[in-house]
Amino acid sequence: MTTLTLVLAPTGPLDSVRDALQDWSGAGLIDRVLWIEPHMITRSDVSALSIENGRLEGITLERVLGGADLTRVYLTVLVPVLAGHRVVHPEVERYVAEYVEATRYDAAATYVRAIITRVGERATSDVLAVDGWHNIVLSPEDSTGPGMGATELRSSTVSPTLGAHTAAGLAGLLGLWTDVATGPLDGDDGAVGGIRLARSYYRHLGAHGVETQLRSRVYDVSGGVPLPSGASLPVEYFNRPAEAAQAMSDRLWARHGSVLSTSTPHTRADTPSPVGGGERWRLFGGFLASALRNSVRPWVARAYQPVSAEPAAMMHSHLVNADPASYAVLTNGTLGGGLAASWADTRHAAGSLLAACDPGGEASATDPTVSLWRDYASGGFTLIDAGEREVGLPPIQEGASLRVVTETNLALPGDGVSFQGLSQPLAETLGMRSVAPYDVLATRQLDARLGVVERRGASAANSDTALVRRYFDEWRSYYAATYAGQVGGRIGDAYQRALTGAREHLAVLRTASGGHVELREVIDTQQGLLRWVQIGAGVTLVLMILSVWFGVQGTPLALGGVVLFPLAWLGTCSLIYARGGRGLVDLINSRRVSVGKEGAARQHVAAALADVCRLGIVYEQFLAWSRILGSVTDAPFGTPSRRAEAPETMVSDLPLSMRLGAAQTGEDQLAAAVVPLRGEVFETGWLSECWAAIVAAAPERLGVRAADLATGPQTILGAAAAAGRPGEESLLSVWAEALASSGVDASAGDEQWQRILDALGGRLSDVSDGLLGSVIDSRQLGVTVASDTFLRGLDSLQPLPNDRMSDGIMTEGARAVQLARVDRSHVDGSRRGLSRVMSLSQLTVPFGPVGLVAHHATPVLGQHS
Amino acid sequence: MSFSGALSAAAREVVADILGSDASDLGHAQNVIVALDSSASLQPRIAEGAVRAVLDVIAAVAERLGTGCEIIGTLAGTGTVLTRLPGVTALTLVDTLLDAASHQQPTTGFRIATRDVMPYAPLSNVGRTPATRTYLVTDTVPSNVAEFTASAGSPHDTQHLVVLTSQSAWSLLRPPAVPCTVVDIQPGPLSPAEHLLHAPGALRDLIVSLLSRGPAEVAAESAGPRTGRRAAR
Repeated sequence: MTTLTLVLAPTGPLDSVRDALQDWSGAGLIDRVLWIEPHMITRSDVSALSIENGRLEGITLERVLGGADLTRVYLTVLVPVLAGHRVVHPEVERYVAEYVEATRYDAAATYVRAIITRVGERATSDVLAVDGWHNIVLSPEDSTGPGMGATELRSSTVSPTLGAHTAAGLAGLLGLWTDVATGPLDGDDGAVGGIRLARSYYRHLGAHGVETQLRSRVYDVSGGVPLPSGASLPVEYFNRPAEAAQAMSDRLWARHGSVLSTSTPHTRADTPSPVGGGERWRLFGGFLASALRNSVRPWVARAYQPVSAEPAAMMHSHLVNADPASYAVLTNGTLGGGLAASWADTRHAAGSLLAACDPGGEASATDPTVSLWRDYASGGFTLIDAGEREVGLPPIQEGASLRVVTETNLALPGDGVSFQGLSQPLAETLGMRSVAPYDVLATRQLDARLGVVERRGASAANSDTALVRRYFDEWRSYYAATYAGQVGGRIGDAYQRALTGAREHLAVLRTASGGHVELREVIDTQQGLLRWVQIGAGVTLVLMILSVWFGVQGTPLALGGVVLFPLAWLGTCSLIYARGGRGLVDLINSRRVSVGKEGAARQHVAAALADVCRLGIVYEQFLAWSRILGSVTDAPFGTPSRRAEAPETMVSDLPLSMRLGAAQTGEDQLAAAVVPLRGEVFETGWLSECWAAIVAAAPERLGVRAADLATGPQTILGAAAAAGRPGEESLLSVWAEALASSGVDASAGDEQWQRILDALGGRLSDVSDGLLGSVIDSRQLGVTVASDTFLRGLDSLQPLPNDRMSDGIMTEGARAVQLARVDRSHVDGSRRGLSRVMSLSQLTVPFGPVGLVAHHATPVLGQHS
Repeated sequence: MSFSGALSAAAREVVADILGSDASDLGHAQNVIVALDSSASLQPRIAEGAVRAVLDVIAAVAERLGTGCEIIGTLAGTGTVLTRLPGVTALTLVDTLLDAASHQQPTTGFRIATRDVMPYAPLSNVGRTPATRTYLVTDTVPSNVAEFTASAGSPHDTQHLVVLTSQSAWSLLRPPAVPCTVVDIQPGPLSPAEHLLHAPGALRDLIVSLLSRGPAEVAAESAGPRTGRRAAR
């Protein structure tokens, strides 16, 4: 339903009426009005100045009257019966009326002549009343309300008061006030033709300030989480919140435990068989043969080859040479300066080494665990609001009651409770300034570094270490027991396991790379034995020759030496080999044990490094999500929008009948209103709506990078998680930073708050009545009046007994019969949240023009505009 | 540099280009009064930055015209006496006016005081009495604009109406017999300062219009999306 209000005014001093309408339009007090002056009218069209939101625009009537949604047109002609003021020529009035009649289509039309005169005015008119029109004299008076002392507007005060008084009278008469749906002339066709006096009153009670205070108090969760309403079971607080957090964390990992598993088998191998008797004899034979050939090295190499560590050593060498710094960080767990490496350091080191041994491995290590984070959020929210969300993560019940935590920090703590109790020197020594409550690995790291400082003894840096340690231990203990701490602890443990596995693999490879030293020692030993065997062989050969010579010379027994001396040599060799060659056998035996491990290490080191990277990403995502969720639970409804913080509408230089005020409230009234309103807001699952609004606002928050996420709010979850690759700033971290630095979008609470405001304007009007204790009137800034006083008398349809308008403009006869007595009142208004608008217009009974002093039988106002 | 700062800088360049490097040597020096309408209808234009953009340009003009002379800022409310704002120089003019406007309750309508109550200060110029140029920044032709027209103290004084309104509205208003500059900046994706900076010729045309000296040179200028000239009637 649209009403169009046209005001036809003579050019000249009545421009001040237009000025006032434009000003109030700019202040948001009146709706659109079209202002027409005679010079804007041509034979073909009627132009007008559109006054809307304080702006002037030139338009043609044809354009606006043809609107399909137009239901009513008011054409009002301003008729000044004031000395020196021109009036609109009757022919012009008629022409515009006919124009409206011809172009208004189905819209109802109301024609009004608003007559402006003053007490004591000498000017008269012979056309005060026109048949078919409402002929309304704007009563020349001003007062704060019916029955209040009124000031007569006299001809001597025309100039300074004309614009505002006339504009206020018009706005009331025509229903121009914003948020006032109807005027007194709507459907009032019975009095057309006669003349009536009219007066209007207006109140605008702005309550943005009170609303802002109320919103802040209702939405505040910093003092504790309210028990949610609307559950089928009673809701109470957890007696042991840490156990509840543990239980919810266990439920989460029961659904997503695979995320924490590692794909790396341990480096244990089957127990190898040691070098046996036959094998030992073969080694002995080979030893003798190599001794006779005087080349022990090839023999040892052949014997050692099956159990060589060369492939493992080569891989180790490759990894070390690819990124020595990353290798050192990962294997030693320390940075260059000896400082313990953080989880992020080890994760990046693992990524670097993984890239060296498996160039595509790092990319495949990314694991967008969207469902995990959705469930993580749901679990935390459910601990706070007992909402039913995910199957498998229901609210925790104790006895016959659902339970919630007493404060959001017990479930999803935010950055606001980070550990920051480090002095400047100590922070520099530790290389850490603060630790977020959910960052389990950083907490462990700080614990370790603090321990190092404690062990070093007293110094300038650690003079306050004992105090910090006590505070830190309390802080760590508290937040490790939260839901975020429990969930993060499991991820942190898995990360540490993966890291330990990777280190074990690398240690095996490092050991293999050192095997050549032992082999060299064995070869040296073998060569020492070789010399003895060769000497023995030479001696045996000499003895055999001597035995043959003595046999030939006639000592047959000497021929036995040919057999005995080689046997003795072989026996001696076997004894020598049994003692000196054990090193080779031992080496082969130990290599047989190691070779299984090295093979496994070679095979799985890439997988182990990938596990470190994947779990590092999971942990990084956990940190980002925890930061996001902590920001959400810190202020789940966001901060009030600028609109809610807008100052009250205050304009000066108003007539007494028009009052603007700013509502004030007291602490007691606020406290009384907060209780029922929190019951409206905090129903079970109340965080879901906030979360949905925050997710929906995320693409806009993330700007250009998230432009392609506008297809659906939930896509932010997947896209943000998938973007979390090492070495690049993910959407997730950008979002987390935005929320942590600027807070949650106000839109999270705006929609809910609008529902509350609507309820305050209707169903909960008793709550709003109790809030509006006093008002600051724009007329007297700094002075407060009771809201009842401010609004007094404007809500009654029944005129006060014997209430009459200013009759100073009426003839003696009209005054005698009390024609100025109030006959009818029209009340309309609205509540918008706590703000209120009220309009009261009053009319007399119709009477003839002769009842007015301004009436003259013959025309004396010769000037027509 | 903000767009507002960029606009000031660009406006100074254009003024220097038009008037030369030393306005006082060229005989342009004048006392400059800038009166800002403090009625409620102008508040949305202040909030959206249109008033600041226009004042930035006027300040650039005043800086050059007012070399060695007085520069005065005042709010035009409904009081009969306009109060001279303290500490106004060409550099502080814009902030002082907007700060004063933000601390004053918007009025219903505003009054244009006559010369008798305009905030003329004892002029510090020795040896000569320069003319005075008054810029009244508003959003319509005030109903008592005749008082403004009549407020000239000498034939060399200039009253200049700077109207932030649409060309369509201006075509239906009855401009007074004083120089008028119409600045038509519609709300849009660009800020008012950006409009003036980026619309071809808008800034120069605006400054040329602001420097016009009398009714014979009256020009109504539009800046922003709707550009064009209209002679006042």
